[in-house]
Amino acid sequence: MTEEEKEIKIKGWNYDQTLKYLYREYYSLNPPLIIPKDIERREFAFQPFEKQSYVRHLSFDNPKKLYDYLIKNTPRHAYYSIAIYDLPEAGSMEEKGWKGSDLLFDIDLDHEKDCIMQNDIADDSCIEKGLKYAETIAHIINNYFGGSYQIYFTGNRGYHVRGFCELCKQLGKEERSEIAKFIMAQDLDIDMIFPKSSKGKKPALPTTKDPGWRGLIASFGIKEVSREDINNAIQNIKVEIDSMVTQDPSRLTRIPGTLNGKSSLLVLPVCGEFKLGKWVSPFYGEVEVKAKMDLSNIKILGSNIQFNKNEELSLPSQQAIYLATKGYLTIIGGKIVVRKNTGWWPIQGCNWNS
Amino acid sequence: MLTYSKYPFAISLDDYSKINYGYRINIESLLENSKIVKLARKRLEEAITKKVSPLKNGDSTDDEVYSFYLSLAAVKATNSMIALDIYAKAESNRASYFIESDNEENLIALGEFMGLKIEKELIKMPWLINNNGKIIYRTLPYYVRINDYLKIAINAQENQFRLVNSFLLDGKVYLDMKILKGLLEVGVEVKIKNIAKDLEVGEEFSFFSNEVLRYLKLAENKIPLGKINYDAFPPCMKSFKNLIDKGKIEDESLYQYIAFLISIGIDEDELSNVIANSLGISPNLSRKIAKGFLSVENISPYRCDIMKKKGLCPQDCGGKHPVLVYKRNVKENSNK
Repeated sequence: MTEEEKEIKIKGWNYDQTLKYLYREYYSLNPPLIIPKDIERREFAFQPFEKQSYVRHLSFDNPKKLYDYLIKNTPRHAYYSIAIYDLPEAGSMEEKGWKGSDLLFDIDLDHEKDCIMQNDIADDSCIEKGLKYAETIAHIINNYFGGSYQIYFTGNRGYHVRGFCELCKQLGKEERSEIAKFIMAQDLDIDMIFPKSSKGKKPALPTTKDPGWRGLIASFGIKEVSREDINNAIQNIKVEIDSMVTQDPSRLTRIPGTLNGKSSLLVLPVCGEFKLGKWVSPFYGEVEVKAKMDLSNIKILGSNIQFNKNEELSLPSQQAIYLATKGYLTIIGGKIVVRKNTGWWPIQGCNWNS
Repeated sequence: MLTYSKYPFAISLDDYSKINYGYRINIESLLENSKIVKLARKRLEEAITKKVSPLKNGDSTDDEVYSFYLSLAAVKATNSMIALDIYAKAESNRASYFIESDNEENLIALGEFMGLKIEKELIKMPWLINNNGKIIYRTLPYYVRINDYLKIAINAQENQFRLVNSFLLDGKVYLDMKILKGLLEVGVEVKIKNIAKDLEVGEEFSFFSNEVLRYLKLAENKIPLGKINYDAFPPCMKSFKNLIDKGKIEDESLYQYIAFLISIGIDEDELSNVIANSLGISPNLSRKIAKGFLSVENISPYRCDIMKKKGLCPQDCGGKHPVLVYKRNVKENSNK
């Protein structure tokens, strides 16, 4: 046992009370969090375990105070604003003095037709395959919006992509709605970007260097300019996002390194490949559990699990806590080790210098 | 160099008057200039009824700039978003005639005035291919930054201005001359609405604003503006006119007649003459009374059945409402 970890003996499962205790132990280890450099200009918001509502309009002038808050109050969810403000702690937008916002795209994979879902639980492969959508958005931010990006796993069923583009910072709701529609190919009119055939002339194939959706369609590799091929390419490229999130310049985003209270998994930066595994949870060890409902065979955090209602079994702590958070089982007893860092920090392979 | 007679919104009233006369002219003082008031009326009337402001309104740049600002102040005084939408669109339609034939330098200057920095950077993309395999390229010689583009484009109704249909690359929206001109036209509309936001208008504009609302009502009812067509009057209104000519009209009949004339779009001059003739009063006084009547909102004569019941119109007026009868008669006369 190193000072990087803490061992906890569990004698029973008291739902939110136990979860809050485990979260507090995690935050007490001073785990790595990705905190914006301009922390004093961001609004922070938390959802306490005891309430459905959010505690908003908080601000911290340094990371230490944020850690202290997390340890003392230990929320279920932790967020900060994509917006920067003069006075982030003010109660109204007018008083806050909005100075601009990053772009934010929310991909929730529960609507994905290829996804194996059981109620609220997504199979690992669903999350892993879904990364391609985040990568498409990243490509669009990079090549079309002229900005940079960060992708992170939200800790539950999808990804957030943040876009950093100087020109986009001041965009309001309506302008951001156009950005969302670009991603979703909403209102895309192929007659605007491809000419019609005329006597002796037909539309030329687009190239990947072409601007706008022509370039995106070319990147899919169409062989001829036919409506069928173009529509097929569009269907494959476009990404379904929650447009309400992208439109809203005052939206909140999860703090990477914190725990998502819907799953007890970490919110993690993604650089290149993303494989779900035990490293996505700060908890390990082994516990005895009792199932509250049936679970058909599904891959969760790298291994397949299935059980029947009332069945008692041993499970790795990370999967047990994930499924207990989702209401599938209760933990009867055993050992849980809380880790400060599962190895995701320092980030390798991409620039997360936010 | 932008020509203010073509683009009167491209300079503020303050700047224009300071540059040309060395002092600031406030918008209220324009109300005292009868020529400008007349031109502003014409501007508003055509903007609302013909959907395009007159291309030439007056003889000088002063006339264009002042009549533009006075019309806009009258529209602002209505507090009607519909009126502002129609007026801004009509001014944008007017500007589009000039934009169509203006040179590149002026269009770039016009863009800059709207906060749309137009840069020259040509890109080309393969567009068509002919039977011989020769590729014909589409060239896009200008670009605007994505943020500038969106601020204007979100106000456009047309699908071609949606970001998803734009030629966007690396934060730049590339444009050809046709798209650029279209974007500038939308920009004019946005600019005029923004000018209106900052324009402060007082009580003195209320008579003017009621006139704007009257034009809107007429436009909505599709009653043609211009000279009153006395031949198209329903019988009761014809009889009121005869009574006025004989100097024998009763007060209530006179009120109904005036309400009818206002409903069919009589202007201040003509109404003032009617009042002066019927009451035998001085032109000054009759003009004041005419102004007063024109500033009353939603003025309308009785329906035909009520007029008949009250004994104002013993004859059948030929329909349900005298204004509808007039509208129908005007249409029938014009088809003859």
